[in-house]
Amino acid sequence: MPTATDVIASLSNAADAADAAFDAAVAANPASDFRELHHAKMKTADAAAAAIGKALSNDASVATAQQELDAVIREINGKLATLKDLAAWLALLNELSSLALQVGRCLA
Amino acid sequence: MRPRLIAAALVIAASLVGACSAPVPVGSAVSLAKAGQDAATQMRQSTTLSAATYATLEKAVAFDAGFANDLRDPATQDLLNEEAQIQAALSAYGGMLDKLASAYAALGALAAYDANGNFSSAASSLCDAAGNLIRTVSRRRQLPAAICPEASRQTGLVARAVQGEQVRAASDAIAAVLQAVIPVLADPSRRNLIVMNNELVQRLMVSAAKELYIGGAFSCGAVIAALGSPLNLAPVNGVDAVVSKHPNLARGCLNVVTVEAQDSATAPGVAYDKSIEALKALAKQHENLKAGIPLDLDGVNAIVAGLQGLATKQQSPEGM
Repeated sequence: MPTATDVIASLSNAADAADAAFDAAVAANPASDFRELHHAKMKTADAAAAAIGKALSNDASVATAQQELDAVIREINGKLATLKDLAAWLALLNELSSLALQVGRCLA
Repeated sequence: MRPRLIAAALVIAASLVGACSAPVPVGSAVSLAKAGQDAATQMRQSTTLSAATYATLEKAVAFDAGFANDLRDPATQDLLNEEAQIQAALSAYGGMLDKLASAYAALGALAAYDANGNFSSAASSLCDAAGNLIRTVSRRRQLPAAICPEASRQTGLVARAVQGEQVRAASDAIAAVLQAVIPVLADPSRRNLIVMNNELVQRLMVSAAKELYIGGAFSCGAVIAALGSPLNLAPVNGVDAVVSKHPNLARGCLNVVTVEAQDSATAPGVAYDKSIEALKALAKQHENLKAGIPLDLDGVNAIVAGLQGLATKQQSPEGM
């Protein structure tokens, strides 16, 4: 059972990964439309900030959600140097922000 | 009655002799006060966002939203609202650290030119702010009952004693509060929350700077100049035009910017831990001053110098 601090650390890592993914996508495709990527990035950052701002107790569903989130973070970090396709970035970032929100709700 | 009076007088005399037995290094106390002020100020910057940094964050996320053509996204405003709430929750930390810096400034004035009037109010405010912080952080944990009376007692001595003893009493008053608040500031779970938030903010600000760099709004000239300096090489005029024609050079510049951004994002944790280290080192020097042991100000000053270096690294793009 992760502590609230563990969960918030995962959310913070998710925000970090989303930020790195956004920057990598911008560097690889400077002239593209980044609206949806930006939306996913900000939602993830928002979930982390919201979790940090709460003094919270744990929920049994947090463990699974956290593991899924950590897996996506690892996938993003592993692909930072290679992935060029915006659609692939978007799919990953959407999954990340969705999981981050799920984990964040566990803390509410 | 007489023997009791004599005994009481002896106890008082003995305590005064004990208190006056070691010379007080008033000159060193000036340096200790300066180091304390710097450490308290840096600890504050490592804990809460300054108004200027929050304003820069607002600009950075506004730029980011515009850059991504995502102006109507409510997540951007939600994030700013969350940050404002976090800063409100951390206000007890900021208040206490401001008072700590003020108390050190008053100690410095006392040691430098015998200004004892300032210290009483500074010590009283510090004690109140420390109590507020500890009550805010944990309802179960109260400011130890002895801290404020001890600080007040020492402050009372400040008004009556000669300068050397005033400085010692003022130092003891600060030390009493310092011992109570260091465990609160160093608490690992609180520390992690504060650092994670500061890293989040730092990343968002750095992200905007990176987008500007990628878009060609910033020059790689400074990076290239730094790389050439060991061989006394200076960038050619119009170096960015050269970089833009050579993909390898452009990738090299972008990689330096990326590495700098990563370093910058981890700076809040390093700065927080160094600030705690500085406060602990100060607490030790207060003990030394009380015991008449020469102060190790070189060690304290080295920590403070390191903190100032971190502050420079952590500085946000204020002029953006």
